[in-house]
Amino acid sequence: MNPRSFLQREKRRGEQNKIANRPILLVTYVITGIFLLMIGYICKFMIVDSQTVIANSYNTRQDKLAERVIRGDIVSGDGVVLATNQYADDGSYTRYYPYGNMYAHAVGYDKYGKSGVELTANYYLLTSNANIFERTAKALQEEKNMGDTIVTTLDTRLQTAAYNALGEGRGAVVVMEPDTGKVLAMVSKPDFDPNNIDDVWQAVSDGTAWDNSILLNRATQGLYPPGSTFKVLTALEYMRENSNWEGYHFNCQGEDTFNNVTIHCYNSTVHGEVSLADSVAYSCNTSFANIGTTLNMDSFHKLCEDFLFNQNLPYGGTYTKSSFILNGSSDKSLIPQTVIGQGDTQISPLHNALIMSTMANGGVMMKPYLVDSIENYQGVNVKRFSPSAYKRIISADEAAQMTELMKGVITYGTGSVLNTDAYTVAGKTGTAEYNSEGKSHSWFVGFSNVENPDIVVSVVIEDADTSGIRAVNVAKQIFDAYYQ
Amino acid sequence: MITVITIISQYIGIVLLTIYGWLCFSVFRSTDKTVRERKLTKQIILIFAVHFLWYLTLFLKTESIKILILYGAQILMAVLYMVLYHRYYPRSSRLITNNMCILLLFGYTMLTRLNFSLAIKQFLIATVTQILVSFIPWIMLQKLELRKHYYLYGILGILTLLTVFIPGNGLIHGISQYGARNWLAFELPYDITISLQPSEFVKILFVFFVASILAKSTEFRQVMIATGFAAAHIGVLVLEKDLGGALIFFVIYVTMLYVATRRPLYFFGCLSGVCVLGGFAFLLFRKQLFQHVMVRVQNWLNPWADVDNSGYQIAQSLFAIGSGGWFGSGLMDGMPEKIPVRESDFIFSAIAEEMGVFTALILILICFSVFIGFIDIAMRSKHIFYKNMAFGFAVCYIFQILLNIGGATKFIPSTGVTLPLVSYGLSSVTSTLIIFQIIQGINIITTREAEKIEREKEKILLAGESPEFSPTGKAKRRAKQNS
Repeated sequence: MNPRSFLQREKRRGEQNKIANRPILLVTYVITGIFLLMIGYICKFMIVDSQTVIANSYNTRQDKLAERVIRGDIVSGDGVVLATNQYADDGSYTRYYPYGNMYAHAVGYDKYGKSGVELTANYYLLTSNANIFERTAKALQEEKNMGDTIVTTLDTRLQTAAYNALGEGRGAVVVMEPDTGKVLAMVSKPDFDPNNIDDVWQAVSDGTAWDNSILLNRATQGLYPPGSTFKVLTALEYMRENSNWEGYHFNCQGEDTFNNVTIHCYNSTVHGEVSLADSVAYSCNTSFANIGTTLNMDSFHKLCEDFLFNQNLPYGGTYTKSSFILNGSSDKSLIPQTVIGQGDTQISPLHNALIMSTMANGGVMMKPYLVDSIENYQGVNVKRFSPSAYKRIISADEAAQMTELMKGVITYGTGSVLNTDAYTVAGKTGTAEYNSEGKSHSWFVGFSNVENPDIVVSVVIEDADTSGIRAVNVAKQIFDAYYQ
Repeated sequence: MITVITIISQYIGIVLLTIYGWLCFSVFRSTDKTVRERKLTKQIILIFAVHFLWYLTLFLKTESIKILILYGAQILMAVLYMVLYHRYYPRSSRLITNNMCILLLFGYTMLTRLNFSLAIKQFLIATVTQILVSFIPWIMLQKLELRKHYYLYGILGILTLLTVFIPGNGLIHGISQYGARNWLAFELPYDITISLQPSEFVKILFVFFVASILAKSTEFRQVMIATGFAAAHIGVLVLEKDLGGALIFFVIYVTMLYVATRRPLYFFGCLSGVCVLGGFAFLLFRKQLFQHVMVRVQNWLNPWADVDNSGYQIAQSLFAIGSGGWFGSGLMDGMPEKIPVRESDFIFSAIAEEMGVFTALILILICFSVFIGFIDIAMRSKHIFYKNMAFGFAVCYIFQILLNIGGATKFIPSTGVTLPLVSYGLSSVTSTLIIFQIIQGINIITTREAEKIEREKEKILLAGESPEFSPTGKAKRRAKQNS
């Protein structure tokens, strides 16, 4: 071949090759883009999400951390030490809880699978963010570093008030901030001393403990019939289905029959002619049973599920799901009991507090949390957890209307104990019968102040007739402590 | 003392790997051959250094002599391979050989740490395969007219995929795993069972098929025949419920089709066709086909909803990656044994936990450098068949990396694909090594041709012939015949 045509041919082949390579380049750019995205995603995971992910209590790797780090302290929001270590002469240490029983369920214990904040913040307690030189030096000497301190949202004043108010009663209290979701107090009784967790655990597993449910955190794991506190949701559903609900009226005879079921008002009190507001304020069972017969059960079921019945709660700790069974295809005779909070419905005190916070916070439910921030052992801030909204559940108008109705409970209804000049409260009382002998739990859920809510209080007292403690009185002591 | 040594080894290892990763890309920028060769030699030194540090740590932490023996055997094989292979194939791509070695090294180290007997098996599989597949470039250099037999590749591929439906417990039969029937077992004497994943090998035949059929012509009729065959392959994989495999074949096909035809229309046509068909299949066979796909998508969206059950794998993987942090817990100091299928599908998470996310990112860059190396060969090759093929293998390789690492990090839903050369697995390692050797073959052919052309050009320049040279009548005729 002559040189010229050879060079020309090669030049042409080179040009053709360039054209043929264009789509290859394009595909390569696209794939490069995807890989950059993936690398960016991994970096974002490491920088933003990984801390929360590995702090998950299912991450069993955490126990390995204890080989290199001394468990950090847990303190309350107002700086009081709730859990720390006591060192023996040989350098070994045991966990010490200065307040004993008072924080038994909220702070928990660090053995036997752990519980409370000891469980949910385990990773942070076993991570050291001490000075990097100190850490490196100790690592090289194969000495343990000091773990970080957990600053909880718990408030000693409210925790003490709640703890004392419950007294010898059985039950639970949850106090939280509706606009942030911070849990300020969490008490469950009967309780135990976490300093003696070895004995307690042994006794519970042997069945020799004085009460075998002492390890159960009733505030999050206890399920109770909601009783009349459930009427908040029934009233809300009625308001949704009837735009002229303000015209509702009913003549209460103290007793009536709906769908072949006889419903009594508490003590068979005759409330006479009542509006919807009166029905809430007096907690009139017959009026609510009457309302119930008109409700669309499928849409009521949906409302309850929007409020997280049968759903997971946006809560990081251990809890039990609440349940609401009724729907459009259920037996109609179940309706009258269910709409007044009896029947098969079950709820935890934490969940009831969340429903009330949603009302107090203009319809938006905030995620409840107990860990406010992480500090290294010398008090330098490492990480702060900010409040986050779970979801808007009802409109601001609906929340305001419901709040208006619940104000009546305090000003002229069943919660008049809380009618004071010191603060304003909106809420709902409840008496939940749990057996055929008429034994009942006492409930109160509500918030103060009505205009600009500070705290939500949710109280349940088991078997209130026997102990003589009423939930609304417990709530009063907590509100008093907050506003003193 | 041991702690001090292992911590220092850990960080030196990270620095050395970073340099290695940097060289992987700076090599492409060097136009000067001697500079490039020097960089590639540096890479080899770095591989041996990292190898030493990792096995030193493993030995100090376990004090097991077995590890030293394995280390020695690996060194011996690596030296023999690098010397002999390069002597016989001086035109092979050294970057690809280096990257192949370091990827195998990642796998060997992690498997030694996780499960020593698997590490031995992996070493034997890779070594024996390596020896056998070394002949592939030589075979490709023989004049075999590989591009002519596209129907053979297509039909053989489909038949091989169908073998997994062989029932019973005989000599050869299919097995189901994780809800998909995509394994083939060979029951050998002495109770030895060898399990292979036919789709790993059919991938190679498939790339051959698409490259050759579209190299012949890209007319509409030809494209339709190719699409028919591709649809048959993917159809069989869907019947096996191996939807990850079907996805890989689909991506290989559409990208190769686009590159060969240069028409985006075909690309989007195939894409929308699959969307429509997929939509119908979803509506009709929701229960039968898409049950575990939906579970996987759900676990991807929110693994925390069911950490104990369906979200377990991905949650454990994320715990591992997060707990290790940027620089890792150090070899033997993490808890990778908590990760399900850590030796194969989730080996990336185990590496990230103990060697650190930073090292894991370098691993991604090394894999990406392999891809760029493949693409570089595809772009240099002027033969449309080899160009198609090199590009097809590049996509096949990198897409698998994306599925594996993306799945382990929750970037995309997990599909149960291995990390080539790093994960344990007979089919995975063998088929990847075959691909690497085919690529080397293409590189050798392309380089040889380019050198020949360079020589011709030099000859012309030396003879002082100007481009304005006017050809004689005889030369003109010859040029006509040649064109």
